Amino acid sequence: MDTTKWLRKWGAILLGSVLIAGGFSSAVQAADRPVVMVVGFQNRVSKSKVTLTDFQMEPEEMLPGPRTTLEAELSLSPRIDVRTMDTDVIRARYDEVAIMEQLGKGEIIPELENEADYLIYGYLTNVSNIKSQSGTIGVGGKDKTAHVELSMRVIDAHTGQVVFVTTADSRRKSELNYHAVFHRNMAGTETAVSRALDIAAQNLAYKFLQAM
Amino acid sequence: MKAFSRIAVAALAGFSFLTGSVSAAGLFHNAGSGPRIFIGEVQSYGDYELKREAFDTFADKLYQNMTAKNFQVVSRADMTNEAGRHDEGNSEEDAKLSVIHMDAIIHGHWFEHGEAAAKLVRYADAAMGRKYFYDDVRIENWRKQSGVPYRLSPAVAQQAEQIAQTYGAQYMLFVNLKDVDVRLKHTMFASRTERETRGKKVTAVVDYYLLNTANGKVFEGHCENKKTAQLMNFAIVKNGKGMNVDEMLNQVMAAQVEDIVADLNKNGMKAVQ
Repeated sequence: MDTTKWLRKWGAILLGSVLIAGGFSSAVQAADRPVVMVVGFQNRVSKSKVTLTDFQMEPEEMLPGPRTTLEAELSLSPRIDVRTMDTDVIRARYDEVAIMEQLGKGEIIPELENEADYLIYGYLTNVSNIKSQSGTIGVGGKDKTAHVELSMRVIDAHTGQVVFVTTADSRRKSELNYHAVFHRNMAGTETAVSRALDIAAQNLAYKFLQAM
Repeated sequence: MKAFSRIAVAALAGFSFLTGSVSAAGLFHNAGSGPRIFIGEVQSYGDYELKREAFDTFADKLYQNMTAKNFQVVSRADMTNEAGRHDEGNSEEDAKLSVIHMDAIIHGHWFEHGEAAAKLVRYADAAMGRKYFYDDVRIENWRKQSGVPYRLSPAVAQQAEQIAQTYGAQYMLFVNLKDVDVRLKHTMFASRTERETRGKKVTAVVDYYLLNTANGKVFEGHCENKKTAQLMNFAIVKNGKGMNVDEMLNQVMAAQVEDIVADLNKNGMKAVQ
């Protein structure tokens, strides 16, 4: 067998094997990638006269944003499959207390079987406007900083154990007002809170992927 | 035939090389190389309670901080054992965890019978007799030995060992957020007495219990953290910082979990060996 023939033969074998293996590998990896389901965000902040003093927004209104951001960030990772469901369906089917009770007893919930490996529960744990001021007549100023904090629990859908918990917070200036130097109104509280929630949700996704 | 077998071998080799080992199970179980600790309960057995959301948030912060300090943390989905604390649990484990926590508290250096929750008082009286908790000399001596480890009641220690084995952990941690105090301060510096301009002070007291289930030893820690905020609008002067109570409580909790984890590392783990 001359060299050219020999090279052609082994080249074909090598090419074929790589193609076959590549096809197999992507199929197997897709099947083996853990399935993660973002159940949604719940509110742990109580709006009362004592606590939330000047927010016009209801905490519940802030919840869809971080969920969308978290899902979008996690979906970018090739290491996991993110499965999404309609919020109402999730609320009805993935009630946290029910999951705790059933999984705690070692039972597998029929809806979860072959559906998800990990369930992510998010929480809005803090949202506030921190005010700071200094100065006297004519000279001085004040600013407001929106501070939000999110928390995330990852529950193993097969055992019911909490396998990972993390928190992420973010601060954004919602108002900056200095006399004698400059006068500037920032985007406003609602926009600042919304941006801060986005950043916090991105940080949660980053921490989740780091911990895997 | 020979060529076909070559293709098959090459395909298998390439397949095993490229697929790697991706497994859906046990992704998060490798975090931390330190001691494996099961969080048993984060609750209040004091006479004033926060809403349950506050305990959950505290538990999340604690979990995160412990993992960051290299502890291997294990927990049930119900980290605060809300059901067990309030006798609404439908599993034996819920009730047992509450009993283990209460037993650790009543034998501890910082237990105050007069300022405990009704459930804890009933348990203490049934376990030791009320007289035991009004022996001032004993209490004073015991308080002076703060940091010295002690043991649970034998039957309770046995239950703790069984639960810990279920979760593959040697140590258990219980946190008693026994007192949170919110005070509005004086308004003499505020010409406009809005909620924002009034000073606020939040104080939180926490006791925590690290149990080594292998020998039944318990380490009791205690920490007290404060946060104040005051905006001054007095005559022509404006100064200070203002925030709502949730924000202050959040900052106090963050400081407390750091203190707890640092104390566990520095004193707790050594004490229970």
